[in-house]
Amino acid sequence: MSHPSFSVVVRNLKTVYRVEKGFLKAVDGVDLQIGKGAVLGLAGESACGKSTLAYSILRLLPANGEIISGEAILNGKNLVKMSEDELREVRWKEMSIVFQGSMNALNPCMNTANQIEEAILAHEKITKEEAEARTIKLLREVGISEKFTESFPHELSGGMKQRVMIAMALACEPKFLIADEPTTALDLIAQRNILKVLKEVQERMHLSVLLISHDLSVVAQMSDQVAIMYAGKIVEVGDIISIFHNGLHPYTRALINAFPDIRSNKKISGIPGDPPNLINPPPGCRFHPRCPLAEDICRRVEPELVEKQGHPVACHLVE
Amino acid sequence: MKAANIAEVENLQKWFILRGSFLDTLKGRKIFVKAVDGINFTIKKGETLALVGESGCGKTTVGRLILNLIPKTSGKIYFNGIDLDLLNKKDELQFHQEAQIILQDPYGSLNPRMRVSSLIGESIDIHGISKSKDEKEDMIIKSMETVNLIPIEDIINKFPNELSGGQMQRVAIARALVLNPKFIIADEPVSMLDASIQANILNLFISIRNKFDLSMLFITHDLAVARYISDRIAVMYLGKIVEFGSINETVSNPLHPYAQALFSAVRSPDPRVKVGEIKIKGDISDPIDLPSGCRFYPRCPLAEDICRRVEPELMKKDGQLVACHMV
Repeated sequence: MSHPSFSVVVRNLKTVYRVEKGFLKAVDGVDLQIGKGAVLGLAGESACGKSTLAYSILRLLPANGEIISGEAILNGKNLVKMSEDELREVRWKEMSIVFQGSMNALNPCMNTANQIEEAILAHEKITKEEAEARTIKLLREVGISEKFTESFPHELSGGMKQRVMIAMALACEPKFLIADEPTTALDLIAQRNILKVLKEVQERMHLSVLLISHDLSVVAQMSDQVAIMYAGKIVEVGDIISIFHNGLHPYTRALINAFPDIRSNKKISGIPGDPPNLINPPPGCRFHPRCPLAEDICRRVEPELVEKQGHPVACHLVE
Repeated sequence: MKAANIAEVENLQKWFILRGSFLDTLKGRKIFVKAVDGINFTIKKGETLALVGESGCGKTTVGRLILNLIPKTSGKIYFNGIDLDLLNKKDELQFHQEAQIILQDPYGSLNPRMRVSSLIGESIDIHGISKSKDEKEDMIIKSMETVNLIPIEDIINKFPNELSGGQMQRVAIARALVLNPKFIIADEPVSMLDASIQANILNLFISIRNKFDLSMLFITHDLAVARYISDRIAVMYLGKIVEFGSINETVSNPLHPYAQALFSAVRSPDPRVKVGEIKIKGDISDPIDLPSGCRFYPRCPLAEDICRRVEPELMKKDGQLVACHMV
């Protein structure tokens, strides 16, 4: 099943949440591939299903979430079909995550080193001394000096906590990492430092990374490839330069045009309207109610993600 | 007092008192957070001034001080040439009509139990600016048209929870505009919105500013947004303005080492433009236990002995104002 050059392959993944008014189709038939040692940026607006996609791959969905079809293959194993016991073997050692808002993900009653050691000891049969040594090495790699190993989370700044989270995600040397909005809620300079650390460890450990961000500049600076997600679907995917300079999907282009750039005087423009309700998504192309180019076919027929002009895009109007 | 300025701030200070330990209280020791510590600036009529800096630098406090929403510790604020300390009750109401604020979080700033019509209408009632019910309704509808809250008949009777984030922020703007203000303080008004919505709201700010000849203080942590919307910029660090100047000049040639670091850290949405190295080290200092001399010296790559001893003043350099001994 597994492809030698890909670390992760997602096929036709569908995840729904049971809500009061029915089923919310948060991820609706997503296909993705992440190359070994490559960074795939996943960009899109809030509530387009980015985080749900990540949690589906990690099998960390909340109780009302359910994967209803599709597969997510990591190193030849289908994560969707795994039991909890099998998942425990895979999590941390083969895949791991740096959470969104991870400043709140640390245990406030445990010092930094102990939290990381705990994770190592829970997954690997090594001695406490070895775990300690590895923890110090990990913390050093993310730029946290030894004097902070006994500090508690409240004694650290936001940026340092995020570094600890990265160190912890790497504790059992996974080959696949999901970074879910790793810089949100940090100040600009701290963001810059976190992205630098992330890029360094990614290159050094040859990690495959799924980088989720609503911030196009984070994706632009960090990724090799980028997938643009809208209303539960991937609308375009390709290498970073072609997407940013030759985006084909009207949503991709609109998203890029909405983003201010300090280095240019360009006029930005927003997208009219709001993202659709995912309980009853619009028929046809989900972007058609906001699309300036929409034609009759867009209202009726859902476009497939197919190769056009060099990379996959889901739009009827692209030749 | 020049009437060319809508707002002038002189030596403005705001020290918040922290509750110390029991022992501190016994000894009568007071601990202060110097959120704003002696700043001076002016906002010209018709201009948009961006106030930028990292979290905790005091930028929001400055906005609240200018609107007299919190008492200042010391200093002077002039609005249209008039000292705010000298306003009587009637003048004060007038001031609060002419100077409006738009806050970051529309989910928090709009009363969830009021419909759009009353959210906008409330300020008309408070200031008593309509003579009849019909006139009031006309004003509400006109302000909704201005901010593009359409279709009006659908939205006017909705509650905030029935609106999207962008629509809520438009209600907040309509509510300010209905009073015909001269000056608007916008405190991170787009930071909670998605890029596609953020762009719409920024363009709305630009269009209302041009249409009504408004002056604005635009508080933001996002430097690309500041560049897009403002004419001049003030960069704050730990309660002080460290650099002040025209936006184009400051963005292309920042002088203060902190401003340099900040601007070089701004990422480009163009993958071919890579950001440079940041030379500053460490984290922002503790605002309670401020360093002596220049507040930035513990992180500054250029710091010398004088920086540790003497606090630099904001001085003119190449048309900009900068507070640094080394420039």
